[in-house]
Amino acid sequence: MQREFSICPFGAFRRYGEGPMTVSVPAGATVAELRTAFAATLQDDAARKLLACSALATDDALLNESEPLPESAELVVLPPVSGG
Amino acid sequence: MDGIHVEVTGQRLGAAAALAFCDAPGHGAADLFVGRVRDLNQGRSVRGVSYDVHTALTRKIFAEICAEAHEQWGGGLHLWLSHRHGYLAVGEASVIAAASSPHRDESFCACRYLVEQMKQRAPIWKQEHYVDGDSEWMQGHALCGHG
Repeated sequence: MQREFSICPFGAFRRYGEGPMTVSVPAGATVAELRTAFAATLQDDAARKLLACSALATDDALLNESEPLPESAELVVLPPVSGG
Repeated sequence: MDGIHVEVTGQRLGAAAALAFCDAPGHGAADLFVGRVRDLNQGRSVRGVSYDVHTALTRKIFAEICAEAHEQWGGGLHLWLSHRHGYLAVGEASVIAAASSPHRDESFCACRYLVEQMKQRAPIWKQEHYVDGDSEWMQGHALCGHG
C-alpha cells in the first residue's frame, strides 16, 4: 500500500514550485525513504542539491531521517535558513 | 511563559514595545538589538528584502531559544524576540531582540544569544531584491534533523 504526502516548499525551494509537491512512498517508509522518493521527482540537479541540505518537517517539528513518517500527510521542506 | 514575548508579524516592528516589555523595578540593565535591511550586500545595491517565514515553527523555536536563555542566565530575565515577514524596504526593521536583567552582563549575553540562535535555527528565509531588478535567495544555515 502506498501513502501520498504533500510537501510545501519554503525559501529557495519556492523556485521549484509555489504549491505543494506530491510524493508517494510505501506505507511504513522512513523519512529518508521519502527524501529519496522526493529527489527522484525533481527534474533539476540544483533542486536535488538543495534538497540534500534541507530538512523535512511537519508544522511543529523537524523529522529525523531514520524515523517512520508521521501520521500527518502534510509536510514542509525547509532549505538552509537566513533570518535576521 | 512569564517574562518571554515571541512574535512573527507582517506589521512594522517597534523598539519601544520591546523596551517596555523588558523593564522591571529590579532590572538595572536592558539591551536592545534591531536588525535592519541594508542597501548593499556583497557589492550589489539592494532595494528591499522579502522574508519567507514558517510561522508556527518559528514561534516554537523562538520560545525554545528564550527558554534556553532563561536556563542559562536566569528565569527572571525579560526577553523579547520578534521577526517580520513579507517585503521590507531598505531601513525597515526585520528583527528585534531585547533582554533585561538585574545586571548588565546577563542582558548583554542573553540578547546576543537570542539573535545568534535565531539566525541559525529559525525557519526564516531572506530573498534580496536588487536595484538592477534581479532577486536572489540568500544562502544560510542548514537545519538539523537529517543526515
